[in-house]
Amino acid sequence: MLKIKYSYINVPELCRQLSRELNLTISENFSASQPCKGGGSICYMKLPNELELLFMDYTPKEDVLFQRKNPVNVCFFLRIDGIGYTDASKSSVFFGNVKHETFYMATANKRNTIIRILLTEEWMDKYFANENTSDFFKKSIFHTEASYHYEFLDSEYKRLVSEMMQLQADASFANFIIQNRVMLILERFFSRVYRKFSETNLYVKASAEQLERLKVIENMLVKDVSFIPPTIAQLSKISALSTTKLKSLFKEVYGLPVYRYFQKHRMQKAKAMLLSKKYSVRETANELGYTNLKDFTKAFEKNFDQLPEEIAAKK
Amino acid sequence: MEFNHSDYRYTDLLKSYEQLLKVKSDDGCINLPAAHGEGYMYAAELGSGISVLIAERNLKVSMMTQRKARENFEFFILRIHDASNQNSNQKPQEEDFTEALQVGTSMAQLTASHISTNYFLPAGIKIRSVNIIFDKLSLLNFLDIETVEKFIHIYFSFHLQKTYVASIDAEYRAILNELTRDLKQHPMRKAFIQNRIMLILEKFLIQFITKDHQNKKTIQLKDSEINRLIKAEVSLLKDFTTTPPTIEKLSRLCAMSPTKFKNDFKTLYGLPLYEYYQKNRMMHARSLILEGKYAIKEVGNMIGYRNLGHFAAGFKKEFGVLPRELMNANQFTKFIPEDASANITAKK
Repeated sequence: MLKIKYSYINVPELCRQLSRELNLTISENFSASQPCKGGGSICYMKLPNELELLFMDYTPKEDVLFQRKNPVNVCFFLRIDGIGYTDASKSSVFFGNVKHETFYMATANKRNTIIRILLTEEWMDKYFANENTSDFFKKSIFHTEASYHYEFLDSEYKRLVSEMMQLQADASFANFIIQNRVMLILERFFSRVYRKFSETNLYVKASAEQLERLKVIENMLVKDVSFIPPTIAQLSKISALSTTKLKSLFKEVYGLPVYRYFQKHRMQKAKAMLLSKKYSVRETANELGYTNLKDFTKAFEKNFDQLPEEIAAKK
Repeated sequence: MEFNHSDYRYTDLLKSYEQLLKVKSDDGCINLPAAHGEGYMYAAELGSGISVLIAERNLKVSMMTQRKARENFEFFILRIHDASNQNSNQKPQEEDFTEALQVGTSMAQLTASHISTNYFLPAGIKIRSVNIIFDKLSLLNFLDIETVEKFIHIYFSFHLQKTYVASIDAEYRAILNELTRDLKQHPMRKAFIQNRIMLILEKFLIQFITKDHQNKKTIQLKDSEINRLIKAEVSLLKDFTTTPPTIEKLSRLCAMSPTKFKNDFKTLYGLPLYEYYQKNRMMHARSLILEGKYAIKEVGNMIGYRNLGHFAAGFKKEFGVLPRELMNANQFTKFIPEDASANITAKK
């Protein structure tokens, strides 16, 4: 396994470092071409509005463990991951700050297509300063300890990304077009974060108290994924919401139907257990309340496109 | 009603409107008093010399605005107008303003501060417009010096004396749709407006610079012909629920032979007639879906499809995704952090 330590203090330098250690060619633009094994391309770009971008498209020969060191100054990043994947649930837009040390793993022989947008604190301050909603963003983004937000890379994001990568106009417009797309991605991302948090904007009408009760239900579901959760009817009794209301409100707030949400968490737990190497596949399945091993394997594969054995067998 | 001004900043212009209409602005926006019509005007300064005015108006009394020329060339003005397809049974009064550019049609115009322009806003038609003032320095913020010089060179060598007029296509309309729909409630209003204005500039500048300005073909169209073609375009896109007018009908409307009509239409709008129609129809469908209020089935019916399969296929051909996929993407889904091969918080 290859280990790479890095930081975002000097992005052009980081670009050179990654190019060296991962054997990537430095390219001038965001062109994505199916990279050969053990190689690929990397591109650094500074936009007219001071934003820095790092684009990588590579297939590592062996597993690569990235370790981000603590930076000196506060900085945020937006990472667009898995651009080429057909399954939207496997690609994401991720926003976080670089305050904490993190590990990140790139699996061998799997293609990685990543765009990182670096956002300094000053830049973000300026960006939100004129908005009426700046208080919200300051509170929820600047002043929380572990501030991170996720989104699926849905077709709208994908459209913007592909417009960025397939420039059709004159080269002299490249930076302008890319900057506009980056700004649109940021706008879409942050306004969706805002809408998710401002609960008054829900399509399904709900009082604050009802949402409170919904949170209780959500907690119940994810607290212990090892036994079969109560039925919808029971949940509706606990939360004092009608079954219809419960189902639609849950989906609205948490993005997935009740049982799929539960199942997703259950599978994540399974994966974490397998990765820890302390449990065998059978033990994991039992722990998670599966009596039939086949059911578990099936569910796992559905979620991760991988058999649990593959993860357990990995060194 | 007449109105004269020579303002450099649209926020100042809005103040003059406040006095004229005797209304107060709220957060850069004034709503038209009922006596004048329906709609609003919004003005903002986006920094680095870019000033914008966004308006959606349906006037009761036709209005004539005149922007007086300033002595020197100082800045450019880009205007995008789109006359709505609804209410078109209510015919605008036939008034004779031969000197004025009719805003009752859909087009993009580029002009500069040293030219005075008259605008005639006819009553009874809903018109959406975006006006952008910018200068050389604002362009230098996002384009390199050669490109900016090239733009200015083209402008001064070919379009100095007259207003440059171009047709607007479905993409402009889509931007206008978004802009006017979410203007008042977007949580990140400033960024939202700024981004759309940048998209309009991007689109316009690329078209303007890459277009062959010496090519006689575009210039061969006379102003009157352009006006007639625009009329045909409006009538083509008036109503998506029924079958569109035939080429024959449209060419009669333009007083041209069908062949000339087809060719000239393609020259002006860049696409063959029905391809253009289809593109606009799909763009309309897309904006309806993004509005989030309608079911796919409703949208299909609203743009005249009986067979939803055909609608989906046509949509996919245009945008590469199915209507259902777009709708799903547009809904607010909460992403549940997935551990899949990505973030492994240091276990070992």
